[in-house]
Amino acid sequence: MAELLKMCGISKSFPGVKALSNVSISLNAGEVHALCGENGAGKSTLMKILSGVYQADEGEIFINGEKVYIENTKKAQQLGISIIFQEFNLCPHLTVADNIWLDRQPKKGPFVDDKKLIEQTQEILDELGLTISPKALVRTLSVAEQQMVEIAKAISFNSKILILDEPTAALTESEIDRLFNIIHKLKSKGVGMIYISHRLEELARIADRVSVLRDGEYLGTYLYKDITIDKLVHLMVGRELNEKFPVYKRKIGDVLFEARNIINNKVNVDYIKVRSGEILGIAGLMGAGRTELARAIFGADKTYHKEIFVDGKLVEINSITSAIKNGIAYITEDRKKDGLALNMTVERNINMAYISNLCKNGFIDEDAAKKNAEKYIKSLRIKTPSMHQIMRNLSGGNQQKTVLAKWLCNDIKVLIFDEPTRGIDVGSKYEIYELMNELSDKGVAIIMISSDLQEILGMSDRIVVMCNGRISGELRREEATQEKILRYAAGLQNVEGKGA
Amino acid sequence: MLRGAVTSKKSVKMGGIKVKSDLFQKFLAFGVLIVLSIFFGILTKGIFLKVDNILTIALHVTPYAILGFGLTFVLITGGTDLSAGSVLGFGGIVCAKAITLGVSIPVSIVLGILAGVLAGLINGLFVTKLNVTPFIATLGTQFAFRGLTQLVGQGKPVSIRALGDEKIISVFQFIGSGTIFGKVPFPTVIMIVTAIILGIILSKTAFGRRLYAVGSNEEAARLSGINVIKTKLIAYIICGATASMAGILLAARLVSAQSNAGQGYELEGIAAAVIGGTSVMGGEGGILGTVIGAFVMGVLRNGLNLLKVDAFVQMVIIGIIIVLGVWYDTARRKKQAESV
Repeated sequence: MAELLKMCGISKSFPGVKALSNVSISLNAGEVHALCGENGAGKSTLMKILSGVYQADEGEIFINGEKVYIENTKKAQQLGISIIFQEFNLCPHLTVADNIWLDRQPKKGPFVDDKKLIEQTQEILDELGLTISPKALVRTLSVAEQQMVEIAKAISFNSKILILDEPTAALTESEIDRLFNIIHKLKSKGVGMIYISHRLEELARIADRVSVLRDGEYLGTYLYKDITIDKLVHLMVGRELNEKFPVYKRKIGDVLFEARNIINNKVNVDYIKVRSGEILGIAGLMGAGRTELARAIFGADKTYHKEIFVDGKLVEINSITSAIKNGIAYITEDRKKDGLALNMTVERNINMAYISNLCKNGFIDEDAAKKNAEKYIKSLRIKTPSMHQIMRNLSGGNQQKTVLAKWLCNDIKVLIFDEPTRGIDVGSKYEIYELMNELSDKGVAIIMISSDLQEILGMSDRIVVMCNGRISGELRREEATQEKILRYAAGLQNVEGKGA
Repeated sequence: MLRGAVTSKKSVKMGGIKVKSDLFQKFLAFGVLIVLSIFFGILTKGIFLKVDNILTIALHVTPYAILGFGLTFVLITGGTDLSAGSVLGFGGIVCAKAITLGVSIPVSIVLGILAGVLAGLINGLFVTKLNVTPFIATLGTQFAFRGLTQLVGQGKPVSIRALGDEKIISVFQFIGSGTIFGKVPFPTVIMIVTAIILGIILSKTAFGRRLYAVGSNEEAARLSGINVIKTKLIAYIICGATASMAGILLAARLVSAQSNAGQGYELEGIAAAVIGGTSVMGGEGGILGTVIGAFVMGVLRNGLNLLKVDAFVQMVIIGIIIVLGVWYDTARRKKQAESV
């Protein structure tokens, strides 16, 4: 295989931090090269250097054996390098065709040649086997489809080097299959791909080689077939991770939370219950109504009807405030979008839902506020140099812990945890799981929504599967398997064994 | 743990930069103010730095600053209030009209401020309940409140002098341009007291915290149980109240409420807030900054006047200063976002 790309001895420092030191990787045509490392290991910095966002302090880059200088993103594009970020760079109000050919639309005199535009878009979509209409507005597409549009856009640039940054983070199993089909197609066309993912299991299906970074250091490149996941994790973390999920014996008590007849235009759930100290996993495909169920329970969205019982008593929850008063907390799936105020300090974020309790005669008792923040920074082991650090500068795991801290201030009985470990590195995941166990120890009833089946199987005492806004099945921990969950999630009725 | 140690090392450093840039932000506006003062002091051979001149600037700056305080609240929520100048006129004319109708001065002032509160409430309801973008909602009410002001005054100034009651005239005049503690203008004292009260509300109360939270991430604030609608409503009400206060002080200074008073003042108020470090994107800002921002504008105007710089040239210079202020704010934010 021809060598497409070679990065040699790349070093990059930011004020006070050596982000990369002497990193070298290469990429062959038709290869998927996985790049592994925890958050903060330097993967993104390396990819930003390759795509021209940053410039390396030291080191050389060769493309097809020729030394190149990538001084900006435009240059990277000209060199055939495309990067697909976790957050997409699409214009939601424009069509698929306009997005792919943004600012490069074919012209007829001074006008855009719409017919040709649609034709050439269709060509690319066909090439990738996509059924999206070129005329569809991007905002009407699902996350997975938008990602496909990003890939189509990269192809339209004739990119030979494609960087995929956590492409499966927001995809469901079947969408991941489709993505991998496309990756295989691109491979056969000689496109080289650098693939970043926290989901190590999926690498087995596509990766040819894997390189590992830790704390900005390059630890080596391996043929994927020669390395085990355990070895990989060991390299990434620098210590053995014997168990992905903490072994724990939960003390499950009486029924603490019940919800009946939760009905709105997205959800129609007859009954769910959670016992004190129990973790109820809610599985399902994206769009199955899991988050909508959580928001309905929490009073964040309008519902036509619902009955909620906490501690056996019917409580009225018509607003978020009343949910909080009744001891219900909801941690959203997207902490950056609606969980945190990113440009505010850790202290202010922790105290956000609790601030009224920290007032004396109408004024904030600064000492009490600081003490409260201090307490949770300590007990949740939030890694921050100070409580006055800006939220944005914390790692994903520590941000997630801060959101958790925000809720723990209030005396919570029921915790709805939506995608607790999305976008968090392996080590921090484990810590979040431990914290969930500690909460269950205190008798909190936890509802955990997750798209990560391993997490569902590893953490839940009981699993409820949703499909089309309804509960399509319920499984005890012992009887649950990936296959059973997936069948329920797909709405297939006759699951082997017993249903709910 | 190794991983933790590395993350925190990185953040410490970033924390260092952040703290510095915060101080720099405050120092920048304040530094600009000092540099401008020295600059004009030298060029005017000391005339600029005379106490009388500085008090003149303080009196001149007062209505802009007070207007800017309320706007700071609204800007922190991520909103804006283009109607503030019209509300200024409205508050002033309601107060003056009440006085001419024989209502006592204290009650008239309360009525004027209530007019502003009502105006703020209406703005707030448009923005929160009807979900109209703040820019559009307050653009509309800018016309509406100006119209109401003209209606109250029937297109003419409402003059207190016409009342012919010397006592009332002198009291009203004192409110607008009297001096206490020697030569300090009374309105400026009001401005300082207002600044202290609003500054404390912003930095020391739960409401203040909620305001920043809403401006920083509205959905996160809502899901944390913060009543976003109420928080925003109060911000707009405070803005209306400060605007009408400024209007009353202005009317008192002239002993007459002009029906076109305050036209364009909202932009001066926004400029003062922005120069003082309040972000038009919401979530950041403070009252002290707005005071400094208002003084930067006032000092520029006064200094350029003393130097006999053409009024039109002055506008160009002030315009450039505003853009530089916003540019700096944006660049700083971008840098912050990239430092992840």
